[in-house]
Amino acid sequence: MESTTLVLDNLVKTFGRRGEVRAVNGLSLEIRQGEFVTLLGPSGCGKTTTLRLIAGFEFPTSGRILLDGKPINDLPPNKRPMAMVFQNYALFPHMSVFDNIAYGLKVKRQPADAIRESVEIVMQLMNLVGLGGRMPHQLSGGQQQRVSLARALVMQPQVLLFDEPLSNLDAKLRVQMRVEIRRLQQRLGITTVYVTHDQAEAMSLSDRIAVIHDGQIEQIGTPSEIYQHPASLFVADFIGRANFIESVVQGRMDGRMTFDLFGHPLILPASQGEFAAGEPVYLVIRPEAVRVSRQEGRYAGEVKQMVYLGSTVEYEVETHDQFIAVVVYDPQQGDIFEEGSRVFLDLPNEAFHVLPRGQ
Amino acid sequence: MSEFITLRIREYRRLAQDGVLAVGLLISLGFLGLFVVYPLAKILSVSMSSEAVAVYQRLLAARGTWRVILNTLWMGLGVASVGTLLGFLFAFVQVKLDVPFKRFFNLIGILPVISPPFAVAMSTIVLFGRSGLITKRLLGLRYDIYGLDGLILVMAISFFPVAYLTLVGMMRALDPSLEEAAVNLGASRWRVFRTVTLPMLTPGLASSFLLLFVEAMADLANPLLIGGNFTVLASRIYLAIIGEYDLHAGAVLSLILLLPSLTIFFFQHYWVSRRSYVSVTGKPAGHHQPIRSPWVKWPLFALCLLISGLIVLMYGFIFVGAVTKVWGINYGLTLEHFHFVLFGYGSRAMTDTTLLATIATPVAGLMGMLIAFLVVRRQFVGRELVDFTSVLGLAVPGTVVGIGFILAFNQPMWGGLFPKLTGTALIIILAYVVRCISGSVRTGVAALQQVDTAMEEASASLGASSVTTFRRITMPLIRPAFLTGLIYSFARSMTSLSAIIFLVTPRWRIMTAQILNEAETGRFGNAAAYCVVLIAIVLSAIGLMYAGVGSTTGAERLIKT
Repeated sequence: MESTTLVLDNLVKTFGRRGEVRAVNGLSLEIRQGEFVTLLGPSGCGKTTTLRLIAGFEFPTSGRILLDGKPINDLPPNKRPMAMVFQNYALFPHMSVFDNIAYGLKVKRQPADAIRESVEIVMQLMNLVGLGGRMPHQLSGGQQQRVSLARALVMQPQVLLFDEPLSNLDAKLRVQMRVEIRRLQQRLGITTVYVTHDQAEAMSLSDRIAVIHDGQIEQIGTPSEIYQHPASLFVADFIGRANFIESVVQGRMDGRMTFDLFGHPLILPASQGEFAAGEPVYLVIRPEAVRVSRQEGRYAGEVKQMVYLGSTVEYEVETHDQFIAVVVYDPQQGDIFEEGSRVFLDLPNEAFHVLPRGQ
Repeated sequence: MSEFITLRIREYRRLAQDGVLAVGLLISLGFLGLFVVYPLAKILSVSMSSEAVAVYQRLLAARGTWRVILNTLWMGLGVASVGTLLGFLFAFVQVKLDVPFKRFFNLIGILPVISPPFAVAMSTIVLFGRSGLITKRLLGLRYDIYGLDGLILVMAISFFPVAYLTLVGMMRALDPSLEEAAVNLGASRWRVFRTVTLPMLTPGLASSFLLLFVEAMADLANPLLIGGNFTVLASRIYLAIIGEYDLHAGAVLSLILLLPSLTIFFFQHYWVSRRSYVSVTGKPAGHHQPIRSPWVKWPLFALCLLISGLIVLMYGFIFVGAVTKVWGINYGLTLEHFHFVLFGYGSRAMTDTTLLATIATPVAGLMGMLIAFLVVRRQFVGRELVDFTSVLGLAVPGTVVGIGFILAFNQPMWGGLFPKLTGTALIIILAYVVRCISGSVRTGVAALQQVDTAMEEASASLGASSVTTFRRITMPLIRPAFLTGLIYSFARSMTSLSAIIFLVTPRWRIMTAQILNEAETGRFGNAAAYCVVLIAIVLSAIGLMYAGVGSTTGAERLIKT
């Protein structure tokens, strides 16, 4: 059995004199050694607070944090064997790149030549050779980002923490850095907790994603688990895009369920979930699974909006008083329908996913 | 409830783990408690004791007392209004107009901060008094400058830097795109000013007004010198102590002075200053467009020039007074006044004052920074209280501090462990520190709010303790602000009169008290020479401090990424 490095046990963090704001509301998580876990969620969901609890900049109202089995709740941040990469890089403006990276080692009172060696190794690793003498304001955004990461890595921490580190970079640079971070993490095998609201980042970097909503984990799983089997409405809507079609369970028999889909029956295997007859549900289908064509089909509709994005075309098709979002990849001439065109939708059975529709 | 307590206990335990910081907290709390809260409590207890009842009856029955109170309020109103207007004029010219001599105007706006308390008043008397150079010689008028008009003129000039600095900072930080948006929507410049600029400056204007009001009420020097028959609370307190030796009356009057001062001050601190309309949306986008209309520019410029000229005249004239035989009457040159100050009777005062101020300044500076750090960066129950107490030193008038000290430390405490402090140098140093610590805390708080906490957190995440983080990260970044705080403390100590007037003895002579002496007995020449020497000492100290503490690394410009 693999050793568990970091355990969050029912963490609660409230703010305000009477605890009105429950930023983290009973969050539990187990992270294994060397794993890359992303805390993903919209602004204000509590993911950054959770990260700060792990780092020690906030203290939990209740609950425990355990590192290698030992509770570290009351340990001050500078005594925790973790290093954090900040959103704004937080480079010390009055120190050179070298001094920034060497800072933590100097605090530990390592001898000067050992420091020099470690810093140079890390600078090579992060592609910063030759920049040692520069001051932070003389670096580009990407370089600052790499210095910030180098400063954390040189400490050889047990846990590496990232607080939305790429949000200040432009799109292309973001993708580049993403790849670098993942490669580095796999090479060094450091347990990593990463916070972001960008799902593409989360999907590309993580071993597991914890989707956080209102201070709690809605679902935790690998990227494909989360995408293909979202456990709740929130997760389905937050990761990728989804169409939610209101429906009712018409019948259940022989390991199959029948649903009403725009007046036609839709038959899905019972493994989709335990739903009783008459229960209201959402039928969830991703935009890229929907096909659009002029060929006669079951579901007729009208193109209300067409957006050409080069590699894709996105449609809003109105059918049966509902708007279905469709995404077509690598659109050929025949795939592009103008606004107002009459089209037919193909909604393949296998693409559907069922979620409960609460009161 | 018990959860509340456990959380608080944990907070304190964490704070205690911080080692040096915990000690610092104890020291600063101890200092504030003993030297700010305790003297005030003493005043309260004396003024509410049974003996005091008779004093109240006597004082409040006398119409004279009510007139004094009314006078004080009128004076406060007058000074606050004129001072705020002056400050606004100078700030406006500095930020919004493209005219020559702006750096000169900026210096004028800050000059009165380092000036001794009597300088402007004496100049005014010699220039505009009954035998005044301008009023009598030039204009042939016989004008009585003593009284409310003289007071307002002198105090407005002495205190308007507070308004100027507040408003300049605020106007610079205003987002220019707001005014641009208004213009874009068709508003004329005047309308923009009236409906966009002015409303956004209201907190600054209100703050300045209130602060000036408090400063005016607290001032002792000017009412004594140029008040004439116009008595205000501060001068009445002085009379009660020095003239009548009536400590009870002094305490009662102090309470009467304290209440409006504290109320107004805290109204400003906690209500007005929180309503800031500045940079709600973060980074201001772009430059301020100067106003081009010549009908606006040149009259304002002329006004500014005129007033600056007047101020320069007043200060320059002091120098004249220092080197002429009889100021304003006999313009024969002489060095006897300087001799008196530098080598004669005055030399002791010069060295004593400088020594005591020099000791007090770093104490106030460091403790102020410590308190600022605790208040801004750490969470603990009682944080608001510490903040409040540290600001009290500014809100409480100097005379009240003086009386409080006398009442509190006139006899030994704790069975002789704590000695009697009155008459010693220590009590004067303590008075200086108490007066200056609020300023240091304020500069410290402002500076710390500019430093991104992420940097201190980064330092902590890399293993540095609070002390190391403060020493290697925070301190270098706030060094300019710390320096400003030191300069302010030194200048304020050197020019302080009301706080120490009741604490001086023949053993320890303070320059400002000596100036009062000389001025009251008509020896304006000596007084002027004292002023010049005092200004010189403060300026050299500023120069030394810049050389010693201050080389800015330029990094402070780039603090907030």
